[in-house]
Amino acid sequence: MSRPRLRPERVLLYAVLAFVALVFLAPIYVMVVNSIKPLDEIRAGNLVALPLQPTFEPWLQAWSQAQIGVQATGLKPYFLNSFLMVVPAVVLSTAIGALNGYVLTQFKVRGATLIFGLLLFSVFIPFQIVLIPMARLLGELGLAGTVGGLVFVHTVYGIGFGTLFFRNFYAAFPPELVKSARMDGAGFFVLFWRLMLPNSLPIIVVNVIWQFTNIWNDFLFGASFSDYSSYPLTVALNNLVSSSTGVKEYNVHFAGAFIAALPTLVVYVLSGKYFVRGLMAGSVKG
Amino acid sequence: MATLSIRNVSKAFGATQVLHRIDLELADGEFLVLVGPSGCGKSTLMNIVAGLEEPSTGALHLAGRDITALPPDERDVAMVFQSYALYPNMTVAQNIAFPLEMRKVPKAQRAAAVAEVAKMLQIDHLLERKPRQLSGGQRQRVAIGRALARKPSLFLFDEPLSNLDAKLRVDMRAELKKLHMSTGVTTIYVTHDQVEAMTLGTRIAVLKDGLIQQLATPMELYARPANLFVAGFIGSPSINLCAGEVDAGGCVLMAGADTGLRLAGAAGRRLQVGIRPEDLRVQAEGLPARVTLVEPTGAETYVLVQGAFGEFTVRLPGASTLRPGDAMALGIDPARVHVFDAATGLRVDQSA
Repeated sequence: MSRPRLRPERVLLYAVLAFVALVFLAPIYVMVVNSIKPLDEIRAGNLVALPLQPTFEPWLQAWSQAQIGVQATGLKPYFLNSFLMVVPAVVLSTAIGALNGYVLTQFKVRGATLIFGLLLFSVFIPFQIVLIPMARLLGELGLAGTVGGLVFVHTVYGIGFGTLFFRNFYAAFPPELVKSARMDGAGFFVLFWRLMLPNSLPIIVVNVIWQFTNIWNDFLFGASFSDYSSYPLTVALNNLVSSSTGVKEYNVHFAGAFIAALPTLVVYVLSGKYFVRGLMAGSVKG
Repeated sequence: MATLSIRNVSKAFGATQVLHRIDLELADGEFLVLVGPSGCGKSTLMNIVAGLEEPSTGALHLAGRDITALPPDERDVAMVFQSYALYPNMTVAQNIAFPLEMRKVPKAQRAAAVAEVAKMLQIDHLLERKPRQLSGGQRQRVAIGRALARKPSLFLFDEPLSNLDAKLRVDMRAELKKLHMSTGVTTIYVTHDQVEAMTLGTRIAVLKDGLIQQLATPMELYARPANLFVAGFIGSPSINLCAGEVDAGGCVLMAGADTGLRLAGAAGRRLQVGIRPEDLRVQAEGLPARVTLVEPTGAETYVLVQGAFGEFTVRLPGASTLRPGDAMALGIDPARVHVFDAATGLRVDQSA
């Protein structure tokens, strides 16, 4: 193996890439560094310096001791709330989106284009518009102020995007495979379950990342439709950071923010390569 | 006994008429080839037989049973697709067993059927692989195996060899023919490749614009094409065509020269005269021509010649000493001249 000579344009390329990476990583660095500093080091003023006396106390504080609601529970119960909200909402919206995409592409549905158009339209409805009608509906359903209510809202909101992803993916699904399965005797659900879904991994991953990130990071629905027992993590974090009593514990805030960001980070790292592949699917082979 | 009868089948997509009143009768064990250029309706006809499309008019009977309104899986018909259509998430064994599984065949019986088919097609060593780990030829075998395992009354092949490279295609063609001889299942085979059509079919239906142009055995099709289209479509290199007419004495003239053929009582009729490349001879006296191109293929040589008739291809056995620019003369055997009406394109039968 001969090493290619490092040419000036290569050097420039790497320099630009390194600079951009630095710009993106700098905030994370600041968060991590300050979340393991004692508070007086932060107060001393140097946000960028490494900690002189590293401590994980702020993380423990944020996780299980900080005063958020009435009791000093830390973020732990709200983290659990967020999980109880995000997992069913992602699973349901992905399942419904996949089923919609399957029906819209593989069957002759009267007005399929119109139905798809309307579902697509739902993607563009701003969250604020549905706040009041949704509050009313959740009240009628007896879901107001519960995690179940948040699951419902996010599932409904996720159907539009889920359908968009899966419809476009299945529109490029080889029609001969479907024909072959029909001739072999596969019915509606068998075809979906045994052929379509197992061959949809890239788009499932795309949809899961998309929905997970959106639902996990959502603040507006969380703040509007939950109460102190069902707050998702984002709302709890806000309450932690903006509580007006006592001193501002910046190190705990940094740690809390990092805890809130971790799950989406993990989802990206684990499935990032599928994400890019899925977004590209169909764009090349058409 | 699995005979297939297609009666009066038409298909229109909106205002576009794709098939016009097709009638076809397949005897038990017959291998019928549907051949035609793309867009001729052959794949649509295949899909209608498979149950993947509904005919606009007409009826289908398989083994005496009316299958016109039956869904695809209740027709006892298996199909091999051009893209093979193997299920990417299943192993070869699972692919072959899938149609049996859907029919609720017990597991042990399924395994036996897979083993039997795999042995016949020599794919037993591939059973645990996924389709993406197979070569094109292997995928083709698996697709055939999946169709075979069901033991259907009717096989449909939709251009199954067109994704294979040239050598493999010739091998698979021979294997398909052997397979048909050993199983004896009634078969419809769609292709646009006339060599496949000629070599495989017990009968060939030539389709164009949704109409059957001719339905005949391969040799009949070659020796007595019913019209200009069939004459031009079947045969490689293609048949030589030239405008001609019948003179006052009933002689068929081609570019002013006598072909030796007689057509009684047709004086003044305008014709198209067709002569296959192998039916032209190079001889001392005859139609004058000049060599424009020599194409040796090994076993034979194609010589392109230019004359009053236009450009003709002559097919000569072995090597040829002719060079571009050489003057020569062409001889014609009147018995092997095809004559078509210039206006209708239909074959004109000769009174010798």
